[in-house]
Amino acid sequence: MGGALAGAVWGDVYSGMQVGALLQLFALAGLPLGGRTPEDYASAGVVGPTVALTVRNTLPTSSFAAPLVLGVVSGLFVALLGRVLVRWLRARNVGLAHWVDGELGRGHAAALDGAQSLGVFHAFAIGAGFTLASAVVLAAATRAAVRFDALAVERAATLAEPALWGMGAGLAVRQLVVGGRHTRLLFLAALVFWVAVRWLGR
Amino acid sequence: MTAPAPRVRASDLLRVMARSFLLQAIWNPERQQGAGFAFALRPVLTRLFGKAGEARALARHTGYFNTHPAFASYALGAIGRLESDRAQGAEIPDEAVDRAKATLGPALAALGDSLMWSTLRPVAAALGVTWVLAGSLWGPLLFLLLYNALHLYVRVRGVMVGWRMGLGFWEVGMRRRLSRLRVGLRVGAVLGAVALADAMVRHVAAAPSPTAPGALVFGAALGLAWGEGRRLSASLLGLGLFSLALAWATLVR
Repeated sequence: MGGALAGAVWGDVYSGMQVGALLQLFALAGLPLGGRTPEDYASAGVVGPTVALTVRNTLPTSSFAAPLVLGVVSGLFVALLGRVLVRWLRARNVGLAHWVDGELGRGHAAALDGAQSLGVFHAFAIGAGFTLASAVVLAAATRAAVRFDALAVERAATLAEPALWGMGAGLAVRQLVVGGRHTRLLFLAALVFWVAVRWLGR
Repeated sequence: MTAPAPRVRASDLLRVMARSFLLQAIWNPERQQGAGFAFALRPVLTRLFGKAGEARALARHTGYFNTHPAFASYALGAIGRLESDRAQGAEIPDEAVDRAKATLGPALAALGDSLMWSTLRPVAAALGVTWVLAGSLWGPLLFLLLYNALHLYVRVRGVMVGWRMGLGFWEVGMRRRLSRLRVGLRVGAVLGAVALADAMVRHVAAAPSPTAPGALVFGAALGLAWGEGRRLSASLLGLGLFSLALAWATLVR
């Protein structure tokens, strides 16, 4: 959804959605099971499409492979960095919870609502600031990288785009299909067969 | 003789449900959803204990609690009912309420994690992504609708069922019904996996590069193999994959 909205802001909803879709598949591998701090794919879903759609015009070809790869890579980087920020924010909340205890002990029930509002405000303000800063820095960094060696970026994207889609599909299938190593090997064999049929039939 | 505690109204339960969306607002490693649980339950506690007693009642609920955010609704309804019975004069000690929370948290987490995170979310995402790859602009909306239809249903129904049946909601076939739902979703998951793989192959088949089929299969193998030990995050693995491709593109001209 973030990809579609970011795409709408930059004037290309469908391209934004493609970056968001691939990031969504990676997000499936990092769900918050059992209190695990998840990677920040909310910020990644905005930064990725933004980077992809702003770097697009600096590339020599019109193919969307290189912008897509640069957007997804930026998104993955932001998701990892954002996880550190979420952990820090959650550690800060310990102090807020202790403050609530003290206030409830003094009979101030409204302190709990105040702490919750402050928690929401903190998370939103820090998240929005982080997303904006990441988008600006990474858009500038990728544009600089493209200016430095556009040919290398295009060639790397030719190889990385199908590999990243494949990896996303593999991660999703791992979640979707219950089973052990044999089930996964069977799925991979079916994929190889299907890929061969498609390519030979072109 | 003390006057009986006021009855909890349906509007209080609706407010509990609405507040449960902020269950994780001040999630912290020490008590996890503890403060959020008390925050969500506040309308019921305020009704039962009045302005004078609500702070004391809230303080009893800010301790450690953690479960799946949507399935917390069942615990909120059941604990609210327990508090109401206490306020009406039932002999229920503080320890019994704490014990009920300590039991419900992990049990609901196990159900919620396996149903929502491990099944529904991947199915909804796979179908949404498949639509996007097929060229439709409705993919993200489909994902949101599929996921939230059940998510919102659980949030609303959980509070009501928990309230109506108290701790008994656990014994009235809830697990049997949910496991039937999980089987249905598992069938959807296999179909989703096939649809996603097909959409992916069609999408990449359009690429003119001769290396694309090999790269797709290599990436899929990496994704399928990931997670044996899960020491390496999938995001980091994706970054590593791009770094390798960039190194190849820079060094091999």
